[in-house]
Amino acid sequence: MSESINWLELSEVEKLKYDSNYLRGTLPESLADPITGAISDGDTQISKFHGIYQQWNRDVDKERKRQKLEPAFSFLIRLRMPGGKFTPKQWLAMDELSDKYANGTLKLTTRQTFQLHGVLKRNLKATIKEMNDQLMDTIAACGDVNRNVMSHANPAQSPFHAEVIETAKKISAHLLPKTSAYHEIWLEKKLVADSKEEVEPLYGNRYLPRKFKIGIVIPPHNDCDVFSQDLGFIAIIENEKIVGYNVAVGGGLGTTFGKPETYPRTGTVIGFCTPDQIVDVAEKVVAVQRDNGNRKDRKQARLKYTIDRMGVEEFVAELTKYLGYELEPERAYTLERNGDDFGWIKGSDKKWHLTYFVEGGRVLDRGEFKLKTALREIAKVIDGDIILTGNQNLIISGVSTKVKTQVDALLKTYGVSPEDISGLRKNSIACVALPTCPLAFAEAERYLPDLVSKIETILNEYQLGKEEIVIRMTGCPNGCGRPYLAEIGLIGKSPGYYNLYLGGSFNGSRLNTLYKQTINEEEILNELCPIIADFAANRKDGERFGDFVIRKNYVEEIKEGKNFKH
Amino acid sequence: MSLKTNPLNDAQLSALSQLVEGLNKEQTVWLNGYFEGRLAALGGVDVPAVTGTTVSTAAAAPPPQSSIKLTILYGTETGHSQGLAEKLGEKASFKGIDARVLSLYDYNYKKLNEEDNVAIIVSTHGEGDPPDMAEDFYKYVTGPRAPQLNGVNYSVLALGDKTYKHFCKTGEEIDVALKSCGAYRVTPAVKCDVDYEQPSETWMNLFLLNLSPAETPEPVVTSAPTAPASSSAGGFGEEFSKSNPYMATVLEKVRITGDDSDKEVYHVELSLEGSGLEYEPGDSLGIFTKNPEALVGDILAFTGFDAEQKVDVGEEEMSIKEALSHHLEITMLTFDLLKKYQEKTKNAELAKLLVDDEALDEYLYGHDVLDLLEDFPYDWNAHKLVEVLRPIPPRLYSISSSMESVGEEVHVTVSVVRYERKNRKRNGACSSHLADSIEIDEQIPVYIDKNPSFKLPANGSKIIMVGAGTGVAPYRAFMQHRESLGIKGESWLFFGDRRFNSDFLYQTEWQKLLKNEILTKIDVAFSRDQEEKVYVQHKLKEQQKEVFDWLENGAHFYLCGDMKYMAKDVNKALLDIIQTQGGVREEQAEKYVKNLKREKRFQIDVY
Repeated sequence: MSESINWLELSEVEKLKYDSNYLRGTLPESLADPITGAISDGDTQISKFHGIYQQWNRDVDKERKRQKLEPAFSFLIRLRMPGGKFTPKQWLAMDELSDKYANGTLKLTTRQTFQLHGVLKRNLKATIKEMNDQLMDTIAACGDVNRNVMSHANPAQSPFHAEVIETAKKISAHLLPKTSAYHEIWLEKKLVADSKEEVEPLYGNRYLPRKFKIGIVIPPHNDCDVFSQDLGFIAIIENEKIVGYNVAVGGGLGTTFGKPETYPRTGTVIGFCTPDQIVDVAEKVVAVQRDNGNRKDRKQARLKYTIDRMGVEEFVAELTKYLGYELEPERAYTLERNGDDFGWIKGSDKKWHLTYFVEGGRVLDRGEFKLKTALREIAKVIDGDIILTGNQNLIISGVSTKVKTQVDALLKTYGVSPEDISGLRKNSIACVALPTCPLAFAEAERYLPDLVSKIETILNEYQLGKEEIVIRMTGCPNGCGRPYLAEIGLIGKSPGYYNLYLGGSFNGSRLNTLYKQTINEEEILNELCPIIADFAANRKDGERFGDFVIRKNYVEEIKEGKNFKH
Repeated sequence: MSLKTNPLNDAQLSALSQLVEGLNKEQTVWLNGYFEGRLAALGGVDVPAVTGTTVSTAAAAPPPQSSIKLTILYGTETGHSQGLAEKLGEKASFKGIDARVLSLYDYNYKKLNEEDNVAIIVSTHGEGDPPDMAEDFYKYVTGPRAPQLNGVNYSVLALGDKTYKHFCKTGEEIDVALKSCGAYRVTPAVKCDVDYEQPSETWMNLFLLNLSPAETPEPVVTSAPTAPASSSAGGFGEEFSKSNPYMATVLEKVRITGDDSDKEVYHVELSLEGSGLEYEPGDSLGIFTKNPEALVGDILAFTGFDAEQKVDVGEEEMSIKEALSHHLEITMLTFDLLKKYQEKTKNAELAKLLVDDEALDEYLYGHDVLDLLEDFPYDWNAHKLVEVLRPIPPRLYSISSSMESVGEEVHVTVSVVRYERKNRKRNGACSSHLADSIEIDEQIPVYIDKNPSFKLPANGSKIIMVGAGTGVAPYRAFMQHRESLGIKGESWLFFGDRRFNSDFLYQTEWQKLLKNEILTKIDVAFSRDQEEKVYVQHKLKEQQKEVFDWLENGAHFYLCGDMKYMAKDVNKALLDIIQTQGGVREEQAEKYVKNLKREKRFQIDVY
């Protein structure tokens, strides 16, 4: 790559990445600065590549400002764990770390991994070291690189689970940044003879223009929302084996209010590859994006914009050049739902698997509801694993019949037996939002449970309590909770006010459409009430809520991301 | 299009939209000049002589430097306001206007009344909130301390998003506030939606066109509607002092230790407006106070005195309750009081205590008059007790502000004394009174207590400032002083407290001072953030080579804070440093310190 770069026309982050000496930045100096609990502005960008986000407690922002204290800075640490499968020992380590260095809770993310919140700067190194001791790392959990690779989560649903999770791990390892910065900074390992050249053969010294996300699903399950990924793989099973994967490119959800040129987009299926091509395909799609993505405007930098700018055909042509072969034509598949199926299932492995609903993905003890304790005790006794799903839930996986009984008893003891929860709540996702996420305009995780209760009251009036409806809320339009694919999507605009989107499909293949702008709780309920009444009275047999609102013209179907409006 | 705020009719608006659509930069610059020329020809506004009268000169070479000064302030969260402020700055410079661009965070808003021309570009967020960096400014101009701004010209560009309920609220409110402060609105405020480019451009051009030189300020159209009643005339000619304290109004009172602190420290700002009182950094503020009601009640109950019984305090007759509440010291014990008490009571045990230095020290610390009455019983009557007790003295607090920076105000930093002993909650007389009973807008009696032995060097000599807890107060005053007067000189702060997160007093101010290079270095010790206790003296020793170097190079060394522990430990650390770094024995090190004191380069304010 030519080094004569016109920095003026590029986004500031490009220069930061370039100057960071392969993701070192000034992190050692920032960590040593005793005057602030923050790291330098530039380092807040670089730290993301290490899985670390600087945040602060926004609840006390105003108060601390008046107190002449800096914001209550702390850090979010996100793990990288392709496929989300953790050993009980690793679970226990995370449980302990959350008490020792974080805010005492674990957040299960929408990308099948853990987040710790509230880690102070002075405890960052110790936390990461202790994770490393349990063979866990946070490399590339954020930043302009390939992030945590998701895969179908439930071994009980498919005998191919083990194979796809291995594939996810392979892709993750292949696309991992090669710099030793992480080991030097956090684990204090000395740099071994550095030959500067080819530190990052795939990424180069400016990495990708923007984040990059990959997920693999096994139809009919779409539990990691394959169309939301920059690169999605859909396993194709013929004659009892995975013969290959359909390749979907250009999914991506983040948008920005007030910038109509930003929009969510569902991935486009461009062909089929064999299992031994999948890593190569992943690498080459990343490479095409590396060389063609927009580096001037970060709000136009995701692969979805690259593809819409180039046109799908030209993109495929370019990809073919990089690959040196053509992808086969896509094969038939059917996806049924993007949520999780809860409860115990006996797998083809003869073992038991419990998919367990975790509201908002937050593992904590609250009064009599002692989820964190229960899971800790369960982790101590199980003979299987704990797998995180892409919907903020978890699976206690691969246990014997005897242990199954123990698990049930422990859940009961700690007051967290799977309740008879409504179809709406089961399918709810909320991002973290306030008080720690700096991007949030409104509440999400702390508020959605209450709102769901209020919508449940309406649903119950029409005997729809069991009806499964996907509802997702985020505090901002960046899309972490994938609200654009929900049947009912709520995106925060300002405290107490949300945009209401309707008409996503139950299987996650269609974007929803803006229905009402900037409305409060009362207005949300008033808007939903007549639609639910209509749905109860006039739905066709088996018709989903998201499909109904489109058939009845409550909203117009969005066929292409470009047509999406806020 | 959000051109609705403009006075154009629909037809004009649509023609304008048509005209500007697809214009390139060059064409826009030309048109800009064209409109300026037209505006000048219309004569509808005062056009500075320097503005070109023809299109070509208006858009061409910059005119000569005029005497117009312009301060452009921005408050932003997304960077848009900053971008526009910088653009306005460029435009202004191009017109020969002496413009500076500052964020509202970096701007000392107390100097607003000294400005000639001010442009404010500010956005609105969430529920009509100002951006973080504009919050203090916003509070200042919209709040009760809003300044008089006669002679200041201004205009506001408000940014916002029409999909929110409180569209451009912050900008609007600042605009209205400045007008009611007496400032002259040069051009009307313009509110911009997310497509702000055109309306902001129009606002900039109109504003710059209307700026007139400072010598001929616009007549002020409005009269200040809410002139504060507490005019300075009331105290004119009257001299305030310890014997005639000034009733200072509390302007601000805020607890500056965070939620998870186990200490309560308040930052209190008081008005000295019209008092004629003056102070310098290093001086103290004397505050007259009253005793905690609970303690007064307990003493009355224990002694069985009738609360309304009359007693003589000095020349005055009053009830015993009044005497104990407002006139006599009851929260603290002194040697003198114990002696008088013993003389009256002939208590043998107390006599023993008075000759045992160590036990005496211990007793004096943390006991009050009720303890004394309980521990050494005697059949008191009210008159006799009043004779023994000493008058309640005012409490002294190191001033944490400089008049050069805050004008007729004085700031103090008060650590609230509360502890429990013998199952009884004890409260410091003044600190708890300030914390619990005094609110903003109320008044308290104060005077200035000069402290000539704790003063900044007159020149810009190096200074090393060591303080723990509220001992940091005078250093805030030092830094304000140097900053306001533009005194260059290296400075180094050693600060210690318990916890980084909640006890880093004035943290954001130190950060700003460091950034602006008013404060050169800072070292901090937080004793409870790790297993082993770390205090300021440890930090001094860590940096001993450089500390000694500074001393050798004429640095002044200041020590402020707790007398009992910190002062001793820091003294000891300093002696160690001089011995180690100077390669001398203890006596010589002591001599070195003595010499520093003689040269007034080692100054101490401990309590």
